[in-house]
Amino acid sequence: MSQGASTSQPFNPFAGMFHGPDAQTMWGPWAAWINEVQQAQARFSAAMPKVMAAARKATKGCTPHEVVMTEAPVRLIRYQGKADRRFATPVLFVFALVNRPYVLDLLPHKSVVRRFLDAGFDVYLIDWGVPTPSDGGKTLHDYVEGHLHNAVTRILDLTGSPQVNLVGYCMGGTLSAMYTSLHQDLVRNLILMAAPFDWTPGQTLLSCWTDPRYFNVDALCDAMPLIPPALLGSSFVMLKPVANLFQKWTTFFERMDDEKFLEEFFAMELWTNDNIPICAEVYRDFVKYCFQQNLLRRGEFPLGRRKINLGNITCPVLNLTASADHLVDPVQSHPVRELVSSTDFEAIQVQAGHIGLSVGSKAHKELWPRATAWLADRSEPIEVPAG
Amino acid sequence: MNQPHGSNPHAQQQPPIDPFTAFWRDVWAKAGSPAPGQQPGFPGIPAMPQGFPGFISPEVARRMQAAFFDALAQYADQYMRSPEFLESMKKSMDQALQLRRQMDDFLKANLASTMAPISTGANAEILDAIRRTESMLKQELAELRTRLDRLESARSGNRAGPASPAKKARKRA
Repeated sequence: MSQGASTSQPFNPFAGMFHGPDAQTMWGPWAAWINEVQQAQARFSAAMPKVMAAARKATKGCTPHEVVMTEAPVRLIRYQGKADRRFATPVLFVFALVNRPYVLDLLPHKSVVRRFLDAGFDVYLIDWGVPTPSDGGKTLHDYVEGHLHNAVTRILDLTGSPQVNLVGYCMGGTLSAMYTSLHQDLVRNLILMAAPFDWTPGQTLLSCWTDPRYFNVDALCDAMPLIPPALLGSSFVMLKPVANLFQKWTTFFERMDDEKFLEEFFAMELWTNDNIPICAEVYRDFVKYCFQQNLLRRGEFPLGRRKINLGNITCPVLNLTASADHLVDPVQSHPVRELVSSTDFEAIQVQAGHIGLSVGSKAHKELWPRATAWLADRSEPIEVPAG
Repeated sequence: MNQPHGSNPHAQQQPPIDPFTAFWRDVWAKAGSPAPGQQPGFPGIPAMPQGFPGFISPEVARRMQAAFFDALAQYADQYMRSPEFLESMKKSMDQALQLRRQMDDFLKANLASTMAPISTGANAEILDAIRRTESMLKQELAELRTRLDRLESARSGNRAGPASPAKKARKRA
């Protein structure tokens, strides 16, 4: 642009914005900021091959196992460990009915199953499978007195042991306690992981959502034989919407260069999105009798023709809870101490979330060594013949 | 923006807004109007680089981001416990179930008029259950047969001889 008289130049009201000393002050910070955004985008693009590779490598469980019993859709799995077996009393893991159980065997360095295998236990897990509409009429009685009892008797047949150690996680813990109250002679020790026993109204978000004034469970269960996985999955996501919809992804964006983070992230994502339907009658029983009427706490939970009385439990009990559990608040688990008749009762709480109890680094560092040692002290060792 | 002389855009009564909307307006107002000497960061977007006015270190930006998320999470939790949210959840669930029932009735009525099976799924489910029971029973029978063979061979003293019919049948199968 020529200097001097510029009467012939058109008037440009924006000229001063892009040239001169004022322009540098105005646009300098923004230019640098845009530069950083572009660098972040380049970092994102460079990390994509690593991200895709990690996503492809995610698997459902990591420990070799065999299926020793099938009662479709339920399977009883026996894990194969490398350590020598030290205890005759086998361990049976009982997971909830609303998710896949391989979260207990997520990654080699985050596997609760391997912890017990390495401690010398014979480890089994009951995989409830994916119910079909023909299973829709199954009740909690069918699961506890049917599948779970058949799995226990199968284990006793296979191992020759007179008893099993039960480890129940979340709803699986509640089911394990129900089973123990009915068959105490078959259970040597009971470990409960974030298992709810008290559903006093208003304690958790779930208890608010299942308030009978706002949630007609009968109408839902009458309309379909299976409660869809999308309903359950979205409910879990909405319990912590900010963490699940925003924070998770900002953390991912910040750490996607880290291969170990990616491995754990995609393993969890695979499990989180692997929801299964639940039989409508089971859902009805649990919501109505537990969430809405709190009958288990009062000793009036109907299972078949009987009522569950947790006071029948006399075996040693270890109650594990997570202080930051948004799904099963520790106050829902603690009342089990008053409900059982066990004289050997111990409670351990760890700084973790609901799933962190099984996959958290802190849990694997602090909690599981203690838990396996607790069980080892109370299990029947394998007698090594003399000579 | 220039306003017409003498007008007061704030004189008009603002309609009452729900707490959720009020929160978001507050958040965006704060994000768009930085405090003196500060530029708040949006989640996931890097803070301003060092050396420029309004610089915030990455650590401070992360803490602000965490505080933002915590506040949002608390607000979301409170809102999802409120009667307004629970009522809207109930309403949407009732409507979804009503739609489902209407679809089921419509399909039943139309399939019946075309003489087609009302629910092909029911037959498939029943057959599936029968087949599963059948395979379970077969497995149990096979195990019983194996135990019986063992008992028989133990009783006969493990004498070598022709295979039992059961064994032959199993081999053929």
